[in-house]
Amino acid sequence: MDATQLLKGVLDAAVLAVISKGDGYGYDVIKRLQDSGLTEVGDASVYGTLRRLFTIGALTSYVVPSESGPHRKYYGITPLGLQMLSEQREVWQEFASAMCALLGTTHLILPTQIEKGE
Amino acid sequence: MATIEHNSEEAMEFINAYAAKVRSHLSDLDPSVANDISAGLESDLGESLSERGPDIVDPAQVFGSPAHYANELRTSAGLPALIAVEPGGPGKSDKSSTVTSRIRQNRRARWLWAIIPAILIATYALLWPFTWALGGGNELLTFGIPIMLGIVGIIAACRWAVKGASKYGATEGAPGESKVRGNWDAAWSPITSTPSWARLRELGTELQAVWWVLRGWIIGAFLGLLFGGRGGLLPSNLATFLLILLLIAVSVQWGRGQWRHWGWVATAAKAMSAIALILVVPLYALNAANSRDWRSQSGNQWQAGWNAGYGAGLNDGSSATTSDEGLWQDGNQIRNIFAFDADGEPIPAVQLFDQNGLPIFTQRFLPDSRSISDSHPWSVNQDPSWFGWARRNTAGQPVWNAYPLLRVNTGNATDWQLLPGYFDNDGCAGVWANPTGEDEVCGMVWGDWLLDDNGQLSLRPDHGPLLTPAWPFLRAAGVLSMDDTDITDTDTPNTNTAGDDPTAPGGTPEVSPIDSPTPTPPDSPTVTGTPTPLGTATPSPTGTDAPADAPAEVAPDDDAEVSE
Repeated sequence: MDATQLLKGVLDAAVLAVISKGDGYGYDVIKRLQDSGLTEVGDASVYGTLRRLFTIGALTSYVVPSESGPHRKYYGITPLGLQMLSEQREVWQEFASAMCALLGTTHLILPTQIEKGE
Repeated sequence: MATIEHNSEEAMEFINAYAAKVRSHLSDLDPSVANDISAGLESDLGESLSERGPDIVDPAQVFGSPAHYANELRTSAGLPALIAVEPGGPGKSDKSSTVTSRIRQNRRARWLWAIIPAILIATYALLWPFTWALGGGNELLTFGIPIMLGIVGIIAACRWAVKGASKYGATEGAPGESKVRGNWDAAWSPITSTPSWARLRELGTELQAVWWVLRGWIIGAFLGLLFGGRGGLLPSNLATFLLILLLIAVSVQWGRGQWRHWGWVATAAKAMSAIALILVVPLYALNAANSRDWRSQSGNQWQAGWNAGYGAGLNDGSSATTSDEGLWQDGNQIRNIFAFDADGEPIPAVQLFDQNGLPIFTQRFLPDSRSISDSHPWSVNQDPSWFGWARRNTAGQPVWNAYPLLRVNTGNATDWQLLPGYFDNDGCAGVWANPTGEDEVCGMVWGDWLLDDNGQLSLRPDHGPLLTPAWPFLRAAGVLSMDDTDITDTDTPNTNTAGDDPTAPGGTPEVSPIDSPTPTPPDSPTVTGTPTPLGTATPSPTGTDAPADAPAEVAPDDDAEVSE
């Protein structure tokens, strides 16, 4: 199975989750996604997702001048974005639980259980 | 919107070119949708590139091919992907993304290779019947193949150059050369970014399979030819047919990328495409030539060859068109020339030259260098059993522009024959030995003609008498001498020419105007001053010599003559 295929469905939630923890610009978001284990994530997907989330009002954006290199377009989460994130979290948890039960492993449940506990 | 400034203008050019290509891959979408998902593309690319380090210039190095990037944009926007994308484009290491982008480029290269031969084949398929109908099939072969090969060569060279540039740009980051590709793509973006182009490319992608089959077919047919088959594109035997099937299978598998994990397959597939492209035209021509042979073939191989050559000559003669062989007038071959002088008397021998001083030959062959493959002995008379032979000059060389050509008997022969019963000790078949037994000549005869084994045409040593062919008539009507340079200046040439040239043929003792004074001598007595009427002229019976003297008497300065 291909991780990129799985990623497509959950990239919105992933990006929203990353930005809910702190504003970031495009490449920063990519890095944080990759650092958290989603190594298959692609530039275009993330930029496209950011742009789309901004368009529907889930994200705000502002420009921060940079000493070296170009200005950076930062994204922050909006109330709508937070609402979307919580909805998608519920959907994902139900889905993941079902899948875990089907596949008969508890290995992947750990992160969600941690999050549930918070 | 922020304006992103990347490190250099050079990098900006790359980014712009890359972005243009990405947009071209979105051009099938509704423009507003395409704008939405690609807004700020240059900024994003610049930001991401600059974050990764100043050394990276070519976006394809990081993001994979523009098509891949465009597909990611599509899927992230919830749209279906245009074409299936191999997993792991940009997310992986730089090396793997470069490999991926190369594979994508190869796909596009293959697509191009499919279009070019399609055009070539279509052109030839259209041209061949036309030129063939016009009798110019050979010209197509002579000029068409070099021209087509030239076109293919130029295209291949361009692609090779562009590919080489992109390779440098991708692996070594040499910006100067990679820029070539960026500029190239940017220059074409007005066309390549239209929805029609996207549809065309989609069609091309679908037609790839057709080219894979064609490619295998062509290579298979060529290999069959190498292994002794005959024919061109169409298989002539079962072995060639099976070979073609095998090669098609290989070609299609390579095209589908089935065996791509062997590194050399992509290269081999490309080479196969190039070779097939070059071979298709000659193979097609060969096929056409063969089918032509089969049509005209009526006997053995030699006969077919003879028919091909001689049949062309026959066609030339029967179709009443001029030929480059021999001398023709109004569609009829002039086999011999008979000259008559101005008085209409036959000239036994005359040499003819054209306006450039070149000898006029009624037959094309060069003297003494004719062989059966070069020419055919033409009849010089109506009777085909008499063939022409040249007069000789003092050095013994034949003079083929000396007319009339002489005739030599060919008997009942209709073809070159070996004389039975004559063989020499050198193993030379068809020896002709002259009756004296002194000279032996190896060759074939056709009546009195002798064609030796060096291809020299001569007469048999015991040839019959050389005769002047029968003249078409014994005497022609006379013509006026060419001294009459003003012949065309007068409306009534009769009176004038008579005056200028009393020796003109047919000059009957007709009285010309200039002679009119002669009747006047009988009137000479009038000089004495007696204006008597005509009848009174008594001296007229006496003077038969009077006319000669009369002018002298009239002439005022004739005293000297009188005194004599």
